[in-house]
Amino acid sequence: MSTSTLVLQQIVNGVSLGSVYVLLAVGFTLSMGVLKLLNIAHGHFYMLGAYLVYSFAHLAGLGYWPAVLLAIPSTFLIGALVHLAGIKPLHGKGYLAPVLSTLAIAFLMESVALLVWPGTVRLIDTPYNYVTYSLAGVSFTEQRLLTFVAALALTAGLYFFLQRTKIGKALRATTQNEDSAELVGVNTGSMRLFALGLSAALAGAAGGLIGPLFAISPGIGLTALFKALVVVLLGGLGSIAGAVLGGFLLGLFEAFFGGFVNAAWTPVATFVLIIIILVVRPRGLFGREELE
Amino acid sequence: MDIELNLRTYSLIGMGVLLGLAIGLPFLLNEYWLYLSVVIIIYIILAMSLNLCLGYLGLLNLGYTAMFGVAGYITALLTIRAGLSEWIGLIAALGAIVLISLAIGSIALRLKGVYFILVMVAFLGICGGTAVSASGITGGSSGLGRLPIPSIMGLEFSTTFKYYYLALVILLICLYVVYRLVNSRVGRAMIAVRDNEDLANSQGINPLRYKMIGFVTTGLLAATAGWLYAHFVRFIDPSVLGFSMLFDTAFAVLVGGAGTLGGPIVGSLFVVIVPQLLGKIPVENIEAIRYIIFTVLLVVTIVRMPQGIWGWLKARYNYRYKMARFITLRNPYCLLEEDLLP
Repeated sequence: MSTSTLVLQQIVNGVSLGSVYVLLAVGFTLSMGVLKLLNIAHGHFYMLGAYLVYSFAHLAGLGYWPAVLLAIPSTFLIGALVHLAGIKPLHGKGYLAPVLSTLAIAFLMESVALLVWPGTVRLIDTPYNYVTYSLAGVSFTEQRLLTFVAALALTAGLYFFLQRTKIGKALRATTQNEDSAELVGVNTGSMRLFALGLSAALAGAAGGLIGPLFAISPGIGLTALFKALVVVLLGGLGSIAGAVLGGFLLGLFEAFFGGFVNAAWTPVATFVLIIIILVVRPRGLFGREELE
Repeated sequence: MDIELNLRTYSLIGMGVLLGLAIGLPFLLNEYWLYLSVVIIIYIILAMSLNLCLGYLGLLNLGYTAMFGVAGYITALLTIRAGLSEWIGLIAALGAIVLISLAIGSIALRLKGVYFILVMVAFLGICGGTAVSASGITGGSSGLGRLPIPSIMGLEFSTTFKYYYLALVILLICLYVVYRLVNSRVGRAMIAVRDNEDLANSQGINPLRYKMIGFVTTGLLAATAGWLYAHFVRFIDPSVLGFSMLFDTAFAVLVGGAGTLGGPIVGSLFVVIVPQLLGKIPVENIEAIRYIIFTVLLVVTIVRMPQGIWGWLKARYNYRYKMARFITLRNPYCLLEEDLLP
């Protein structure tokens, strides 16, 4: 395989992986913007999403796509419940208490996963994993293509939802200024509830989409959180467009580092990247202003 | 004045009784519970480490188990690979942790709120990833085994009975150091920085300096616990940088009571003893169920009783304390920097 094909192959891998990171991170940045909260449990919604798709698809015998469609509202509900039980009661009590609460909830979700899906890792088996396309020497499975398309479609859907609909506008208003949003009649309390549910559903969708590509274990929740963190740090906290760019950048970084340097050290390299970004440019590569 | 004197006498008597109990305990326990007692002591030191940062500085430093693990690996490498004495391992581990803390602290402590949490989480991730990936040095996932048993002047701490006393002495030293620290001018400055950084700064307290003191001490406590752990189980692997160690000690601090001296002790006793009692219940998957019970308890504590068990007892039985710290006791995190996010 020539070098240029290898580079092309890594670009394809990186972009398809990046599309899922985008989906994961837009939810994260949405909850950060609306709730002013660092949601440590975000990656665990992704993990639950993947497990739910596995259960719906294999144990309940539904197909892959119905399972994904069912997992999205399920994770939305779980997110809403988490908000009511652990985040809402701490509203207005400083930034640290809700973060601790989501940390505890992340632990809780991980232990529930260990109880419900014990033992080995799970694999979501779809027919699309067995169809491989080849284009100019670059090969990819149909699943990778579908994952990419679905992730992009969901992100675009979210973008139009936020830009065009009334609820979307209310969410953005809450992000920008809570008091002013209240003044013009936005119920910021229900917006916070809705935002957390929506961000959980997006993470769940990301987990369901990437589930057929990688093995599922309770530990992927934490890994997903780290990835979401890197993406929003790259793009700037609270910025949707930044999250889209950051997601693809992280996907490409991982693909190239894994393909050309050393796959085993990719996680460590990602963490070093986090620290470098925080030291050099805390507002993110595309963030407009420094967030204090 | 009378009340104060009485309180002082009572607490002195209480501490004397507890110390006597701690010294006499090995004669009452069987080997299994003695082993758990040493584990409890190690947990207490590690929980004190997090408590210093979270409770007295208001910084959610999730990197403390990284310091614990790094210290364990350093002493393991020096004693196994280089054949040095375990005391050199201790000194080297503490020295290395001071340097690492200064380096990572100078990056992390300048950042506020969530950014600080992020750097420390990333640091934990780097340590965990390196422990697994650098298998040529760290032994990878299978870890490093057969660490030497500590000995001092011919006295070898070879049995759990003897090791208990070594651990107890180290615990008492740590408790004394932390007690003196938080009740000194430095400790008051730390609390002032926690409660209102700008106000403290305007009073001539350099926030960065006191954060750094607390941060380095946090690292030293974790490193001491790491050394004690590594030479006790005589084995170290990447799991010390993982989920359960972080959870158990964070639970001990938050449920026990952050920002109090007794909190980590009560919490550590709880987190080790209760699972043993639960383990007697003949149910499948009891380990997963106990995590669920504990995490639910943790969420309820954070939401409903943020001062923890010890803070609650303190507020209930110590009137003077209650009046002085009324607001802080209601929620130890509520007076911190707010709205650091967009």
